Amino acid sequence: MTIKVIVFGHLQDLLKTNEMSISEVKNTEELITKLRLQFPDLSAANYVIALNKKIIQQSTELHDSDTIALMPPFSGG
Amino acid sequence: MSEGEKNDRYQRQILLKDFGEVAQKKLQQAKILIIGAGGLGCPALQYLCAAGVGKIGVIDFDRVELSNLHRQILFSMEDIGKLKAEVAAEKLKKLNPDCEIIPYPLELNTKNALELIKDYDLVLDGSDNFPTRYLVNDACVLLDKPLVYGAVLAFEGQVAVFNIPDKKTGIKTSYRDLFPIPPDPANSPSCNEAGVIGVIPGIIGCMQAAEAIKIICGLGEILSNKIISYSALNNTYYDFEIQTKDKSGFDYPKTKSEFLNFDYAWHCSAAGSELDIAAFEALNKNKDWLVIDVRESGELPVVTEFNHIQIPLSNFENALPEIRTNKSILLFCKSGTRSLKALRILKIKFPQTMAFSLKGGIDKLKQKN
Repeated sequence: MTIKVIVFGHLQDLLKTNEMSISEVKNTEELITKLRLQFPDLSAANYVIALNKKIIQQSTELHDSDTIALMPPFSGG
Repeated sequence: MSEGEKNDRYQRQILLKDFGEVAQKKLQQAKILIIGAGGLGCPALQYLCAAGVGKIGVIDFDRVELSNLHRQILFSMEDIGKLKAEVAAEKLKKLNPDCEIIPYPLELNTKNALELIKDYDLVLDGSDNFPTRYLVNDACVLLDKPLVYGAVLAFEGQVAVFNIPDKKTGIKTSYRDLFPIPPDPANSPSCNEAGVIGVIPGIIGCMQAAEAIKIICGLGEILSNKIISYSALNNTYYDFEIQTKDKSGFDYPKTKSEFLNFDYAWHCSAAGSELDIAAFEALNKNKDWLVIDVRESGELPVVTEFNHIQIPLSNFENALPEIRTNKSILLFCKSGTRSLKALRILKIKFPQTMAFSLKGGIDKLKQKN
């Protein structure tokens, strides 16, 4: 099972990419934990998590080919 | 201006079959307040004024600087040093005398926001900092005003419409449904630090103007309960569906009187979550505080000055549920950096907990003692 992860804003600097694939994760909590282990600075970052474009508020089960997007707040104008 | 001239000016949009004289009249009767005459505000002001919006207020206390000109396209070299709101009003009057422009060269704050916003039909946020964004959002929620949100960073931008129910569900959302707690400034770069390409606020400001026109004229599908993230580098528009969040546990003004006394600078700054040594020692005498060392085990110096427990930052999040305390929390580390990170994690998990980080860390405390 493979999940596509896309990130926006300065999260691209933390992950050194704007898109990556993660496999073998059952739910969004596991996915975020896995990402944080790999990119420790993500722990202090603020962002919303969207599963297939829908923002989620609690850990949600993942399926093959799901897309997870992480979007931080911007303040600039 | 004669009727003939008016028809000529707006001829190309009146021609649109979904627009026509009816929508033009709606624009003429509309009152829009624009927060900030910056990168987002400039294009939004220009297009809304050109389109024939009847009254536009523009709030900005800032003066034009040379470093603004790459993106704030209303301004020229001769405007440097002048008040943005006044220069904008002057130029827009020349563009379209039909449009009444009201400049407010002042700082938006909790004392004036509700009074200023209440007379307008719609607010367009083009501000450049989190305290103003949260203030504008909360004021619009309290006054039930539509808010067209836009924000930019580097090569990316975001647009959303808050406080308007979508046609399908009838649900409306606000910025706090997305980000209930302001981000830590240390982990959230601004355009001053990270930069922005000039066309990005141009694109996003125009998208905000388009949403404002759609809302006023009742056209198309409003961007309610969605936020679009645009990337110039990847040529992508990514939309996120926003859902209402239970915000009862979060700190924000729930009434107009709470709003009047709400300190947005404190609310949005890490400084507000940091305590200096004196404040730390004063609070530490109170037994109702739980003090946590977030350094890794074995780190020196050993702290014997006060009672505390140890939860290393590396394991902080996992150990958090075990804390189970009703006490307020003080966090410390060696220099004050890791305790701020731990604080961030703590506040995301337990937004209701009163918690602070020791500024300068244990190094500073040892120096003093």
